[in-house]
Amino acid sequence: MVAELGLLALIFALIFSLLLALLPIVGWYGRYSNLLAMAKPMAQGQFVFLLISFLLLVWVFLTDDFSVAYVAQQSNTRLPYYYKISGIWGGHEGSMLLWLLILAGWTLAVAQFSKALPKDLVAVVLAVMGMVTAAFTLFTVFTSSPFERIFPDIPADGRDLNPLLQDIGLILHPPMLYMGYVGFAVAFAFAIAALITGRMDNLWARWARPWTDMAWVFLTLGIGLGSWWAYYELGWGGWWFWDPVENASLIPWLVGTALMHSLAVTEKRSGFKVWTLLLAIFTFAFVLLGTFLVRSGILTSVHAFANDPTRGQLILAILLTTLVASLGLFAWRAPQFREQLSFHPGSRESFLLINNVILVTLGVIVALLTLLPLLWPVLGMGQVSIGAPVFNMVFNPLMALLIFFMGFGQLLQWKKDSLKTVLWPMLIWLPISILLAFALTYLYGRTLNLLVVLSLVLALWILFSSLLSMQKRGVFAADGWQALRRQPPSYYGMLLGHLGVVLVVIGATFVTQYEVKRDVRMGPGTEHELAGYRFVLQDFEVVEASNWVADQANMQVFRGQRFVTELQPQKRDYFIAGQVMTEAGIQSRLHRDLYVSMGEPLTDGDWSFRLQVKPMVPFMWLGTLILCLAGILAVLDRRYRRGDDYE
Amino acid sequence: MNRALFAIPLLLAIAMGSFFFYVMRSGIDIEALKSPLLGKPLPSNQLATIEFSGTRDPSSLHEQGPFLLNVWGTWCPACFDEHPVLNRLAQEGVRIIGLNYQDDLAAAQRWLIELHNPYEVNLIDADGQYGFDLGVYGAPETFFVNADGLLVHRQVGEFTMEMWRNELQSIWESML
Amino acid sequence: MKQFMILVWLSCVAMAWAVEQTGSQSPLASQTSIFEFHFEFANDEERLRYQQLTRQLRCPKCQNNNVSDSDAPIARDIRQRVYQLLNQGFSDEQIVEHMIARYGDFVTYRPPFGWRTAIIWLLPMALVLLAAWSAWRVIKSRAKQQVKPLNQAEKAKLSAWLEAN
Repeated sequence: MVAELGLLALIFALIFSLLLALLPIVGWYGRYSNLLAMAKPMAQGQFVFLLISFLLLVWVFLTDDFSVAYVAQQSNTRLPYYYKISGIWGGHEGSMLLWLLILAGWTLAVAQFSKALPKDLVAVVLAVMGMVTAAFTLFTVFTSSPFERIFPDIPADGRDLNPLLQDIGLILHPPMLYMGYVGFAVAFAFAIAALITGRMDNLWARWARPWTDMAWVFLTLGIGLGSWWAYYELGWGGWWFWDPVENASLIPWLVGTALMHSLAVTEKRSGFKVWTLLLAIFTFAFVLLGTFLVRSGILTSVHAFANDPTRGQLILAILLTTLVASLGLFAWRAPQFREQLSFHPGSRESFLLINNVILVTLGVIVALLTLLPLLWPVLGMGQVSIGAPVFNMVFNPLMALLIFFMGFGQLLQWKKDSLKTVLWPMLIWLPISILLAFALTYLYGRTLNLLVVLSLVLALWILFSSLLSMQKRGVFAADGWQALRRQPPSYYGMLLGHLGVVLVVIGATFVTQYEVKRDVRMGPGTEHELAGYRFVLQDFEVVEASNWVADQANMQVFRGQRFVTELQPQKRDYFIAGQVMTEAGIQSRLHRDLYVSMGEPLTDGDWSFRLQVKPMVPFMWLGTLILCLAGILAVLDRRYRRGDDYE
Repeated sequence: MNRALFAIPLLLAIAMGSFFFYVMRSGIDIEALKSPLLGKPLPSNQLATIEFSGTRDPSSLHEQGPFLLNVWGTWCPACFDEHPVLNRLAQEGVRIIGLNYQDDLAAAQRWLIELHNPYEVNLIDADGQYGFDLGVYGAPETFFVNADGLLVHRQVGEFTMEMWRNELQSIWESML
Repeated sequence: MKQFMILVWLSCVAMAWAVEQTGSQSPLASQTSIFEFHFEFANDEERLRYQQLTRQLRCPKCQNNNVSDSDAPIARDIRQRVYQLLNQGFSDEQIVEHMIARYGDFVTYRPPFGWRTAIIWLLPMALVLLAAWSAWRVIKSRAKQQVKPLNQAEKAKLSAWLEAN
């Protein structure tokens, strides 16, 4: 009964979203203000019913109603309640419902927090979001309802949640990622509304900007969480594989980052308008493309719910309809926004342009390399794999170039600045930073690894550029404290954001270049030395939980004679799901992670182990958090200038 | 700036969408691996036989006519399912050579007695080295070798009588 | 979306496990572990080469995983062959070629350069060039634009507009 109510609520939400998609648009063309005013209540109704539907699904999960197919597939009576809830977004149907709920949540937020915006613009923005919601609600109701029953053979118990997903990572990562993914629908809706209404000024950009920044923060956090989760949960210590499914989230991030920066130009200088519109459309298009790739199984990344071609074709149809409609609208209406903003080659605009060009190129290249392997089987030419070596070869140099230009860009002023004011200090700094980087690399690793040197040069480059920028703003002058306080949060957001990027780069470079791993055979009392650490296996014990039993190794780690830590890697047997999982034993310090995973039992009570020492891994997580903080600072800035119009 | 430029994104999107629809609707198996040995002779090696009839070299077996080289093992359930189809084909006069892959000799001999033996001869590849050189990545696999000793087709995974009639038989007949 | 990627992994692990259980690969060969602790290397450089090669090679059975991290039996066979060839003094390129000759281009994450695969490198390169050229052109054209000082009427219009807003 509850499940049917859930489906009913979903259908009500569908009706609200259809009305939301329709009424304000009719209102706009017919100039009926009462129809325009309908947008807000419709957005509210849509959200309320999706929330009800979602809560009913939670209820069905918590009460272990295995007559519902999705519950039987994702849950089990022995599962702790928090995994029962997070199990909802562990599969296709439930994660679609979460996707919709979050989309409705963003719609509601736009409806509530846009009082200062022109009513008709908000109404059209909401209508566009209603269209997206309507399309995906239709898709969910007809092909992916999580409320489907299995009759008459109701299983006595569920099949248990995939053990890999029984983790704090799964509780947090998908909702964050969807918040980011779906949040870009707001920027998209703003762009479409601008095209429909023909109004796109600084005010428009000022309103679109915080929404974009927020979506970006969530997406960054989502990707970071996913990477972190893969790192500790998969048991091998990998954190990025250039898998199509990962790329599906990286591409919108790259293009979204470009959008964030181009919106700055649109806001402050009324420039790059057409380009901003295009980026807003493309960011969301890449979100939909990612959704399509992940849920259709068209690419050779086998994942569990990839096997329904009709679903894939329907999402493709939604994607194409959205794209054709929005890009058609763009082709028709965007030429009116052409402007010829003039700026000096050494101005901030021109470096933001370079930033945009590089980021978009990166996004498009990642997309192409991800999709390209489809070409060979289609042409009957066998199979080709495009993996990490190719991606790194293309991605890393462009990223380095981006950071190099970033060092200049953050120093320059709008409209007209001369590179000369910053060129000399920076150019003098360059050889110094190169020498310093070589010295640091040698001191650290006793080798001259050029990639490490490059990452350090980039870090020092940005560090110096940030200091120079603060100096230009008078931070190091006599009344430095005052100058420090005078700077708007967005200024700190910019500096922090760029610092975060550099930290991620440092972490990623060091861990790939300097990690050491060793596969060994160990029994109680055995010890192995790796990178200066002595791993001593004490003993094994058996550990139990409600739905798994594990062999656990107790391993002490010493550095010389000094005790460092005790690691407890496990081999878990999830007996209901019938799967064996490797739980790594990890000790994390800022400068390195110790990472031990158990392999298989051998003769004489020994086990095989993989011992790893991975330098600087936490830099990546720290960098990601700093990126998020930077985004939040940028949003805060918008808030308290809400009243006045132009700087 | 030319107005027509504004339509470029639209055209790109349509092209890309059509490509995806084509891929999804054409039913092309994008996961099937093509054997790099196609059009080439099998690797040469002297392999012992289950029947204790001395050693044979798979790369010279074509001298007695085209054949199917079927890679199997008693540990492979799909091979069990496929076996009746092989029996049937052998009856119809298709020449089948077995490659007993990473298997236990006694178990293989018992299998052939209990389930009938459709194979002209069975080569032993206990350590899987020859299978590796063939590029075998999961049994059963069936290699179609023509009278010139060249690989014409590789079938990965179990095939049924229906699949034989629909696609494989014509390949076989084209080799005769 | 990472959970879907996790599912990718899981399906590989599960597949390998199921394979182990149902035996699509010989149980005789399954005695060894995914962790090649029994491989002895002459020096650290050789170990590093082994680790890099097994990361570059793709497991043909589980669809998106390298042979270093995969516990599918075929991945183990490939690891053993890599180790053998390394010991026989083959170079990295020769080892990759050896695998390609058996499993096709699919087996390496870095496709060999040739006419069949040229597009993988040419396309990004072309894109980068196109991007650099268009950025250059836009910056140049925007810099050229004259910024005329406002005349009296325009100034009046501007201040009126500023007040209105």
